[in-house]
Amino acid sequence: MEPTKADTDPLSSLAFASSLEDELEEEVPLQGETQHARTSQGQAASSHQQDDYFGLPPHRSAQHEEPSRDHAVASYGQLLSGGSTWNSGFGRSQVEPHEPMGSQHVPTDPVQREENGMLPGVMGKYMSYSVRTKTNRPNFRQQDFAVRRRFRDFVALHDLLKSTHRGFFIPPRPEKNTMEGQRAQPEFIELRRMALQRYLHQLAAHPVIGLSEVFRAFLEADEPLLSSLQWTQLTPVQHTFMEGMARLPRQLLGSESAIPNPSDAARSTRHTGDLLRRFKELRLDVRQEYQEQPALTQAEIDLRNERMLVEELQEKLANASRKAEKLVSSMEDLGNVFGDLGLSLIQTGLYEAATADQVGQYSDTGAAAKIIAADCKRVGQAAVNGRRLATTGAQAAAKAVPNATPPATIQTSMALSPLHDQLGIVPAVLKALKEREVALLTVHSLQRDMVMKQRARQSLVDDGQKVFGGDKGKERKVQGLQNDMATLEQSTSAAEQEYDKVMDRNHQELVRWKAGRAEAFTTMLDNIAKVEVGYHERMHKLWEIAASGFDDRRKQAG
Amino acid sequence: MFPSSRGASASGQHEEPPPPYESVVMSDAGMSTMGRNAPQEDAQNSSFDIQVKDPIKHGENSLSAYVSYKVCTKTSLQQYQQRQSEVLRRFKDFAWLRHQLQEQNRGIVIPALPEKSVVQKYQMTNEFIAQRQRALTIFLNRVAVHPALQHSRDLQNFLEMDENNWALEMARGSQEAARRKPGAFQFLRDFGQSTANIMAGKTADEEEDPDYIKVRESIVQLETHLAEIHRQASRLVKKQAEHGVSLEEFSASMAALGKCEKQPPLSMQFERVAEWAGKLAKLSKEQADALSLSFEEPLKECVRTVRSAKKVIADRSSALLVLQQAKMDLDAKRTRSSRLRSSVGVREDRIAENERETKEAQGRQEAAKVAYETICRRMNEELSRFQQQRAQETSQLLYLFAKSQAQLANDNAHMWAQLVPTANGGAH
Repeated sequence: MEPTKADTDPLSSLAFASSLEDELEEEVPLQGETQHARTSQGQAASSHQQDDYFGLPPHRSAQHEEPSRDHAVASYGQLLSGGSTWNSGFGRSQVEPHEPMGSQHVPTDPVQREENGMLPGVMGKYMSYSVRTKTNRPNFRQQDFAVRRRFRDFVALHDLLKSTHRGFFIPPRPEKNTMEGQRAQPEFIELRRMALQRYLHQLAAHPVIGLSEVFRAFLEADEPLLSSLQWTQLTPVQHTFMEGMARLPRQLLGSESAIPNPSDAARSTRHTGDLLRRFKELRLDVRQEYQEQPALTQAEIDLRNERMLVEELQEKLANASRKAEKLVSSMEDLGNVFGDLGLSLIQTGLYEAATADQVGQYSDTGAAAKIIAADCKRVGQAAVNGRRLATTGAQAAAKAVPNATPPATIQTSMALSPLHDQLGIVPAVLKALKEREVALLTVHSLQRDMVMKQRARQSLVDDGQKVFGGDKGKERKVQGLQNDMATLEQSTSAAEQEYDKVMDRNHQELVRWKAGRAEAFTTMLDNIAKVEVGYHERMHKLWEIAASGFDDRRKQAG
Repeated sequence: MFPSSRGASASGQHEEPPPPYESVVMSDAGMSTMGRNAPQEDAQNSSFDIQVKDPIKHGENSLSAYVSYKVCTKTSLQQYQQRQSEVLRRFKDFAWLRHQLQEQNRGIVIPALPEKSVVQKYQMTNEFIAQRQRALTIFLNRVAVHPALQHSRDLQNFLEMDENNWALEMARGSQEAARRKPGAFQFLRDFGQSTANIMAGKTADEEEDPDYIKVRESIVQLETHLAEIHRQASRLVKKQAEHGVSLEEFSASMAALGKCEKQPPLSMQFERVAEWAGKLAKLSKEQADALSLSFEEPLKECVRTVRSAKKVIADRSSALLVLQQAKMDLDAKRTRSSRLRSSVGVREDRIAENERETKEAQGRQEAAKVAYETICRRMNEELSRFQQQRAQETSQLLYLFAKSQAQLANDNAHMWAQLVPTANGGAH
């Protein structure tokens, strides 16, 4: 596959359609993400040594194609790219053994961005990204190749994953809603590119999704994605909201069957465009909440409890994440004040030195001024150096020595980043748990339908028996009902299977997440201690030297 | 080295030979208490130990409310009637004392008082009163240690006189001040003072000692620099306290997470981090308080002292101005007198009147000369003492600051080190 051809991309009607459907999707802003964006802007350059700091797994060693990377608009995205977020959250140890070949692939840089004009003058320009993959997996056609993908392709990928991988904790994708004016900015493009890259890495690190056909198709399929055969084969027929609207009247009038067929029953109503079913399930949901609680299995109850615990964890994580940011910010402030104090001392020292020169060094004034000048300069310099150790200043960034220790604020931030990362994972967890509940709702709804149909049939049969000789009309209805019930039986069974499948996935993922989380937090707590010890030891040395300057002077004076 | 010898050989009389200047120099032993710039020197060097304590508010929330302080004095000075005394004084009394010292010791840099409060009396916080109390202690001790000031009668009355007599004395003093006619000399002095402020003594400079002029210039600019350092010191105190708060909140959030994550190794680790972060928070807050006490307040005092020195400088300029005015006045009268004599047909009484005026002008000029020369003479020693003291105190202050920062960093490093996993794995 030839990389990076300048494309002219005829929009397919399908692409249009899928973009209109977006309005139904709930866009949950991820706290972790927004915090990332906030803190990552304006941080000074940090280098790739940080990878070693986190001990990222071997699969990160694949090449990066990074032409525009030497000025560092470093952000946590860059430092953490390589799937470390989801890796650390998801138990690395589970990923590697699955690979028969040892080292894995890394789909890497969405790098080149090009502007392509749209054809029929409908919209305008858009950005496409080059997604380059290097892999040694046998089921890929090539080992090193690249394709171009647009943002909407990523959206489609995410949607497809949600539909086919219900119950898994699917990593959050980069946010969609942007302002028109913002989209052309180079900073925005770079941020988005990094976010997309991180997203792909996270997907790759997932033990199931990373190995899925969907993922492979995304990486491999011909451009444009949405019209390539490899892709469309995987996409189940999606019905749009519009189509659902069109069906609704027919369903209500009875000219179309209101019973979902088995394959539809196994899918969420979002994708089947069956509005009637959606309304029914919604109504049932409300009814269950306020009136009849259905009988739940213990497993289901446990998982619902689990969901509550996750919500509680989310709150605590959000708080901890905020406090961590506040801590870093107060470190920064403190460092800056030291710098300002140091400057004022140095200035005074200069003034006093000038005075000493003017007044004559041997007069009392001159002697006093000399002493004060030296002391001010010594302490002032220490304070200014303290600032450099602690914070990122504009100066520090400009003269960044490549292998110097990064300032304490950056180190602390990075050490505490698992808090933000885990927080970013939680919405995916909650969504996956919710999916299971939705699947159960489908089961209950169909079961209810079944009960209703049985009652209806029974009452028809009873009525029919009252009429002498039978009632042909009623018999036909009964027959119709029985047909419906047969379909319903199959659909219910399909829905139940789906529910079980989702529950299994939930269990599996929860175990995996818990292990990964424990590991991430343990590392975090170790790291923060190490970082702080190192910083304070350096500060201690700095001030000891300053203090000893005084002692030296006293010894000289005798 | 030089000061005492110079003082003894200077022209004119001192009241009595000043005690040795070592009493002013800070001894290291005295500085073991963090950064107290007040002369807490060894017992043998100082003849005084004064403490200002126990502030009591009087007259709750009424217009006549005030705060009284207990002033406890121990002294070995002969002229004092008691070796120990305890009196109650209020801020107004301190201000009076300072004013008196200033009037009677022109040329000496009188130690500085804390500022009058712009806040209403009944709005004063306890913190503010505590700060003021500390500053008043330092003020009295500095006065008591100053060779030229320690024998002042006013100081003695202030320290010894019981409250009733003191009240009478204050009342009498204010009556006298109202009754006393501002003599011509007084008037000229006040006038001279205000013009000196306007003209900064520029015209007088031709007669001034050029070395003195250089010293003067250096002091004038100094206040700005010191004020800036003090401002940053205040910010530092604030940020240090805020950092403590951040650490505390972080600690709480870690504890909360530890409760959520119930598995033992992880939950215990969270709890340990929470515990130590809490201790670090306390350390940070203590540091903020210590900095405020031993860095910020002394810096503020430095600024005030420099201001006091600037007043003395202004005083000298105005005295010089007064002298020059008096000279001009005398010359004018003499010229007139010679003109009168050389002209014919002038009445006797006018000549006599003129003679009288000339004599008065001469008297004034001589008085102005004496006053000015006294100031100059005093200032020579005073400035050198002032500079030495300044150098010593600033040096000590900065040294202690560096030491305290080193100590703080050390403590921090030790505390965080408790959380670092040992080589065997697990910090528990």
